[in-house]
Amino acid sequence: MNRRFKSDSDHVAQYLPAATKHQSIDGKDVWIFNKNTELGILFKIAIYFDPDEEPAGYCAQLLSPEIEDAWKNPHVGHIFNDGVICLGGGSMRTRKTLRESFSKSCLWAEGIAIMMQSNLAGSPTEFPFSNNNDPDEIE
Amino acid sequence: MVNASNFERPEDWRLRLKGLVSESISDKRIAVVGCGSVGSFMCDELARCGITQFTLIDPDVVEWANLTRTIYGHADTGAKKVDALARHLTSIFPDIRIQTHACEIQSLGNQLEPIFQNFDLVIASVDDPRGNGLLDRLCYSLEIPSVFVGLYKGAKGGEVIAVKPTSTPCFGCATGGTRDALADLVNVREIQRDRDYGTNKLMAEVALGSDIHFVCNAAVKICMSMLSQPGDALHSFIHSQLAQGIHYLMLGMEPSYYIFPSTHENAIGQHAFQSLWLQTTRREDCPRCGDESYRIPFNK
Repeated sequence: MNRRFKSDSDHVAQYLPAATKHQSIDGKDVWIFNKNTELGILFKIAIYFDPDEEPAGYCAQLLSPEIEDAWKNPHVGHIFNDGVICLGGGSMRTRKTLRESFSKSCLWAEGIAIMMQSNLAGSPTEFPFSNNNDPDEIE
Repeated sequence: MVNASNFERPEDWRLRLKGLVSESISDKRIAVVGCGSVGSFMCDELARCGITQFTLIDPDVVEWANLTRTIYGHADTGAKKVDALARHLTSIFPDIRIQTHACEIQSLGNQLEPIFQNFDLVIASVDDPRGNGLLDRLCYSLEIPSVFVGLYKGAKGGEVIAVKPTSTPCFGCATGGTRDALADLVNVREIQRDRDYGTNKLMAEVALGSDIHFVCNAAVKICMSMLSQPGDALHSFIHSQLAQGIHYLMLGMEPSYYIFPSTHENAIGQHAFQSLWLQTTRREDCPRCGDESYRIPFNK
């Protein structure tokens, strides 16, 4: 068995929601979980190890819900246009561990939920967690 | 008009290369990914050293701002870099054979393996970290030697990493491991180029062509040494280093730059243009060069 799959399975069992599902997509082991935010918006997020990112690491990709096209920009919604969530740090697209990627993506979901809800209420706000992009943050 | 079909190099064209590299260098096939200030300059030098088979990959067109530090001229502005570079190389020697791909390396998808599997050397000079990551895994997986050339912020320093699959760690382990190891001594972030927050690519920097090409020249010599045969005068230049696992060249083009005040503090006569050769280690869990149980081969 691939040792990364074994260690990822262990981390998923220990740290991610119990209902997290595994899928093999294009040869990648993808872990899909639901994140229910404080504001009640449910997110479906996929985490996978990408060997071609530099540095190689764990990406978190938004599966649902759909967000405004204008927000699919790291400057606005802190998400790349391919759906990969900006996780901060030096590389922005990856984190060294699955657990870090999971926790950062949950924080992102809380932030984008505030943007979504405030937009619905007619008083849009910016993404609230600007320290996500603190240039002094050490990965 | 001279063209490839009626051109034959006179016998004396190699007079000033004799003994450095053998004539068989002309059989070598190289790929150059990224044809900007680094890639275009290196191709020019390699062509003059006897390389005759190039594959060029770059999606961009030549802009006026490129003219300050590339081999391109005013008539090339607006043209695809791969086409302009192909014209330039065949203007040096019309018998040079060139394949071009005016696209990003990532977009080659399923064509990557068939395109790359017969190269003798790959030069990575891209401004996209993901392109480097992809090339690193591809070349390591196909066991193709590669040379990664990078410039630090403002081209005040730079690095050349020679990767020989199975003998050395991959590019990712070399750079990541070195950054981690140096973190206690220096602020690595001071030398890292900014990334465009939208595309995640490295931003173009204000820098002198001479500083960029200082790194390129070192890289060309490393490439030529990697391509040479045992017995060629150039062969031992890099192979003696690789045999010891030393494959990471760091260069400083400014005085008191980065790590050099620490490493060179007792050496007399120091100023700008300093170098350091580093041995690196591979991470067991690296998907490119680590333990087999962690590797993700390219065809997976």
